[in-house]
Amino acid sequence: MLFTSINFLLFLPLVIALYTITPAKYKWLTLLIISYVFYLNIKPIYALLTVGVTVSTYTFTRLMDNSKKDSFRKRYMMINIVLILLPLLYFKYFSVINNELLIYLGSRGFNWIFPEMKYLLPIGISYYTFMCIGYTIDVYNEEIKAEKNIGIVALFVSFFPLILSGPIERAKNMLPQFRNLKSINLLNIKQGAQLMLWGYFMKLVVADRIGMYVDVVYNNLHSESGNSILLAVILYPFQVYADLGGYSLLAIGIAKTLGIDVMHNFKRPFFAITVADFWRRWHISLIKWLTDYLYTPLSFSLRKLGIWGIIIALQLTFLISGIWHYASLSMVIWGVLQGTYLSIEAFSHKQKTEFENKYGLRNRKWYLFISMLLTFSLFAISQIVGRTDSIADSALVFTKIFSPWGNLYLDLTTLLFSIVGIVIVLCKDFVEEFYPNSIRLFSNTNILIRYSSYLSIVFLIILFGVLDGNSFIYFQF
Amino acid sequence: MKFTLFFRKVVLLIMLFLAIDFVISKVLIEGLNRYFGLNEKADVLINGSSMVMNGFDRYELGKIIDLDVASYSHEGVSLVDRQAMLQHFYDNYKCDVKTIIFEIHPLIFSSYIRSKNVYTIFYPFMDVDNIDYYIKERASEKEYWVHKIIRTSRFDSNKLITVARGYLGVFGSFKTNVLDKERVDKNLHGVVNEIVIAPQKQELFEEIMQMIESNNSRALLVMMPMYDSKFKTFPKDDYKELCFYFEDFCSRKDGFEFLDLNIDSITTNAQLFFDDVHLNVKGQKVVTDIVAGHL
Repeated sequence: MLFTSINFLLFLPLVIALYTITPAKYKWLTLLIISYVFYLNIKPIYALLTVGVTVSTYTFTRLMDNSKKDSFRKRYMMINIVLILLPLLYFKYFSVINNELLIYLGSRGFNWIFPEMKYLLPIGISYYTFMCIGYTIDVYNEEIKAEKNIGIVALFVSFFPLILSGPIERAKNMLPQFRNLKSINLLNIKQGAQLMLWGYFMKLVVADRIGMYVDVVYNNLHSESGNSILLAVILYPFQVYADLGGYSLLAIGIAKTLGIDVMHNFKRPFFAITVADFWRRWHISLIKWLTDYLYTPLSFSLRKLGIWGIIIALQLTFLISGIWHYASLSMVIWGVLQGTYLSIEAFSHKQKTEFENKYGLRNRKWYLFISMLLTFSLFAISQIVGRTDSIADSALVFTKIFSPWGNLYLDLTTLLFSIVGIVIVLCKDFVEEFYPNSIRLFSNTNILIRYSSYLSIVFLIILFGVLDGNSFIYFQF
Repeated sequence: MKFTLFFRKVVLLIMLFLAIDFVISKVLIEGLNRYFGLNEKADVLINGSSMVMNGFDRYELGKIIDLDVASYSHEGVSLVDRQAMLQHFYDNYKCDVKTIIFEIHPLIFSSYIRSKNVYTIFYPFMDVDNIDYYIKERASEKEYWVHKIIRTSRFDSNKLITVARGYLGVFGSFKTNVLDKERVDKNLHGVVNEIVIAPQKQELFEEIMQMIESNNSRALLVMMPMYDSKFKTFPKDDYKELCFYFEDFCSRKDGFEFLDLNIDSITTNAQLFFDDVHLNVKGQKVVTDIVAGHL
């Protein structure tokens, strides 16, 4: 059941109604049952995995809490992390590597010991695995006490707004809320609905519309000309932002209607002036997770290497980020690219800051604009390897862009609607970035402005949205 | 916030939504009617698929023959869809249409389904009984009721562009490209397309002709031209037999004529085609002039 389906729009009011009539003491149980019903609706068998991850996480965090010896606590932590990583490693990486080896060895006349493995990746596995690893580490670090109620842990793992594509939430934020679930608050419903409305706009009107152009070009790289490919390269980051950003808003909005606060996942990323700034604004939940549980401990343990320690930590962190998205050489290169960008910035940070201060560049609009364009360009270039199916295709993209151009693939309707959508999103982000709270539409005190805004977005979605069902890009993770 | 106040606001919002939805849909329908020429008296109606959409400039045709020309055509429509379109036209537009220019092509009687969800093109006209019934038979319950209740959801981006063209009076083709002769010749080399005559489709065709006749209209059955390489993929004898069927059919009907535009001067001129079956702007002018002369 996609969040953008009619079925979900009928499902959510039922959820809210059921949640409302449940006594406070059992609201967590209602949400747990609903979450499992939601997940079973997708692929029942994989719900067993979530049960397994839940049981393992609950057991070992309780063992950690009840143990006084640090060596034991460490052991429990490591065992749990390995256990909950195993399904992810198997479904996401082992089967891919196995199948690649099978093809490679087969082409050379050799047999491989394992047969071809054809599994659909359990939806959400990358997200709830990371959430549970984070929880386990937090318990080990005594930042949080282990949850005593296995049902609450199960709800943390399977909470339906988050399970499919995040945000990757923290136990510190979610468990206390699940323990003290409150009655429905009409203000929360209103605020949640506002977030969802904007999420639907981003997903259906912007992301899916851009996808109609980008998909055609990327699926026909050999026959498309360099100018069409360049246009698709420029449009793709907006597609991903609108898709994942839109989805995140839907997840946050749905949780908000139930009175649950979930972290925001995007913060106007295309107004970043450096790559480091960009990664503080893009897929915030994932980057924060990687920073807290990977980069910080790594850079601390490599601190004696000085700047080189930071660079190694950056490269490893983004390498993991790359392969978290996809088990492929392309994503390894993607990760290395991001790490390289950040490493160059780390290296040149001092000199750059001195230069900027000397000429007061950070106060110059033209300098900030160029910085934003440069940051966007670097990200767009890295997304080429993320979007194409292979390194060869990535190389083809670059070759075609820098070769003589032919006819532009001109789907005027799609391009026109895409550009209008992008402009609307960027305008909203621009106002929020530079003139926060100056223009209030959804939260305006004037009922006419509020209602006009709601209805305008609704009609934009109905008239310009791609309403025939497009899977979220990030579902595949 | 009190529940009753919240409830009242939600109800107000829904009512406002439905009211605006109604108004917007009326504006959009008018745009569609203007594009097709269904908003005014039509002496001639063109009916067919993308071949006639690219094949005729209805406005230019009207200027030449000094008559009002409407064109109720859409990509991907089959005979069943066209029957619904003509029924819709005759039942709802008070015109004394003299001639129906009816597109014919070699695969008209084949059972090949060109588009599974072509019924969606009729959503804007859902308020009409026969169209409503037609859609109900094909769409899922959910789809049907969503489009029935939310009127603006009947319009997608392509229809919005059509509406805009209707209001701006832009009826001509924008297809200025010329087909890649070498590539098309290479792709179609050795290809054979069977001309299948499914009896049910033949019966349906005759029903449509009966509908035209009973509404006191003449019919000009036009075999739309295709590029030579494509034309040659159809077995010559089968094509001749098909044409004979139409000639014979028309000879038995008063006011019915058959016109085959697959003539050498058109089919062998690659400059007239956008792709192997669709005319470009140049080709549209040539065909419009020929048919105007014929009318």
